[in-house]
Amino acid sequence: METLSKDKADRLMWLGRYAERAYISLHFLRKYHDLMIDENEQAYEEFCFKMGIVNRYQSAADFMQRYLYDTDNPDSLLNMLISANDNAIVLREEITSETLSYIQLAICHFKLSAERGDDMGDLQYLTDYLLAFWGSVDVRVVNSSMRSVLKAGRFIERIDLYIRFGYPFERINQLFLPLRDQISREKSIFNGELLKKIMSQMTENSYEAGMTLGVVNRLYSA
Amino acid sequence: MYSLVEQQDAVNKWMERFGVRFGLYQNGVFNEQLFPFDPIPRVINHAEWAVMEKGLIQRVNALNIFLQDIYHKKQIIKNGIIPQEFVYSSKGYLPQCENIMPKNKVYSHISGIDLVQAKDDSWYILEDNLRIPSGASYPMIARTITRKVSPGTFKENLIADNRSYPAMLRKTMDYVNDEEGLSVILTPGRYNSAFFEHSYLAEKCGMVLAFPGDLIVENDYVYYKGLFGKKKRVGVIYRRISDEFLDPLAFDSSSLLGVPNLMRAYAKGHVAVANALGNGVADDKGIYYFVPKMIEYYLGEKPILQNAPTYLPYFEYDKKYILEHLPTLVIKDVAEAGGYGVLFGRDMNAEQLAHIRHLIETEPRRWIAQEVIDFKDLEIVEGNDKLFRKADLRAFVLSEGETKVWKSGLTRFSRNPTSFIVNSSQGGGFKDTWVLRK
Repeated sequence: METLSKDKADRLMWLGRYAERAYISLHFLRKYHDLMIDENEQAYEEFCFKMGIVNRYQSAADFMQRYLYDTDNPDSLLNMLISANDNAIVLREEITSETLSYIQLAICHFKLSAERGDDMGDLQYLTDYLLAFWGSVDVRVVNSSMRSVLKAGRFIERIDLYIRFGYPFERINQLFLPLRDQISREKSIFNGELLKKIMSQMTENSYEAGMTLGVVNRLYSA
Repeated sequence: MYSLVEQQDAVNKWMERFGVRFGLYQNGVFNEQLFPFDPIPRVINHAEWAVMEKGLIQRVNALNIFLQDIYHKKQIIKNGIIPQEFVYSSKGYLPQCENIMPKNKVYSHISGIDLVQAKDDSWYILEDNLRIPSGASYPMIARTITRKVSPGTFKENLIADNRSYPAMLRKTMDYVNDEEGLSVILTPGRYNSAFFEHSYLAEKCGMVLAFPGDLIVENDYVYYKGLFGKKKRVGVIYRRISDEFLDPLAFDSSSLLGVPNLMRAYAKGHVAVANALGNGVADDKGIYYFVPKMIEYYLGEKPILQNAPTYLPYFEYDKKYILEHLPTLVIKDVAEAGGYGVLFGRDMNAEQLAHIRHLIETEPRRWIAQEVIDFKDLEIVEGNDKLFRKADLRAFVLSEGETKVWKSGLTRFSRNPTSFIVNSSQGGGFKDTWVLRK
């Protein structure tokens, strides 16, 4: 903890969140892209609504292009990766060059996809790189405090997005257990009492989406 | 080596993967780009290296003694070896450092000495960098990558391993640290042109990468600020921030990069700073002229490595020569670095020559002039072609209990066929430097 500064903790948290946001967003995007092929061309409107982002798109094709690759679009997937990289690059000595390389590879691949006009199938590499990133975190980030903050960021982001997309109680509830594991290791950085409170409410087999979302985003308190 | 050339794309992909970049500000916009790597290495044979190594150690030892002398007894001035004007008018001379003795008397822990090889194979020292010389990380990571993509090359050639640099650097830091102290690399931040190097060295040396704001001085000790008020005392700072920005209370008060009161902690010997503050007085382009004299004065030895033939307009006889031979000389502004302020007489028109003539006459201390060394071109690969370009070598010399030269170095080359300027900030690329073991 002595060499974990406030800024470093923030960067770890946001690296975890952005990396997971890119991963989950791509996962949801695949589903909505599938709908847009031949069932509902306007499905992207619902995607934007659920993500809580502005629908700034003219058509399904415009959405697929700008949501993925447009660096002037603050919501784009490319910008999520760039944000992950902005945090990762200043953490090289903690996460190692090898772990950082998976974020770099994801960005390089994504930029190449944009140039080539790849279809969704080619973006599987992006998912692979992000999974490799998390695998590398497990193996190479040896400082347990750093790793816990990073992984707590991952679970917080995942719960946040699952709630937004209306996942059922069981799926959300399952995620609180690994989050609690990370948080219990670094009690001083997280609001454990708040987590306890929300978990006790979760036992009633239902959750109130807005309230849960608010609480989850207040758990990190460094 | 041929397989290495064939693997150039593979090498570049690995470089991209590891984020081997340098930052560049152009028209106020920050851009990060890959540092162009050329797969054909500079090769230095064992016997040639042995001489260079001796010469570099000799030079850095003399420069370290000079710095101690200048900030203490000033014998070299008293004995008339160097005119005092050259010392006290140097931008790098810091009166705040008078009578401060760095830990274990080391001033220049990491010295970057720039050399060029002339067409007759003799080496010349072009510049000493004793403040924050950068660039060691590039050949280091290049070697790691080239060994992966072309192992046969390294099986066939007996090349000294250069991946020992982090261990050498760490030992250099440990030499001036104490048992309790943390070793940190202080970076100005993400948008510094050499940020890759700062973060990579922190990772490989097992040091903490500290940003402005992470360090605090309390009761004249330096601490790294952890969460919730937890602090860890810092024993050594490998700073990658210039002297003038290092402590706003001692130097530039507008600096947001520094650590207030760091100078007090340093002066009391409570923290080591590498390289020491005030080293700029020794790598001033004007002082460079006197380094061979320094070697003779302090060490009683003949310099092993020669300076490029240099003239100081400060001396009347040199000024006369410079003004008579201006079109064939290279003129350097002593206050500039990074390849800026370098003017080739042959490239100037009559009006420009007249202007520089006037400046030399009115501000003689600001300029040095050197003969243009027609230095050896090295082969580079560009597309499918092999071309020859100007190149220099930055050798890294580390000083702890003893002075050691890293068996490698940063070879920079110009990508412009007519240019002698090799700096990365001016579009240059780099090569690995092989020192042969036998």
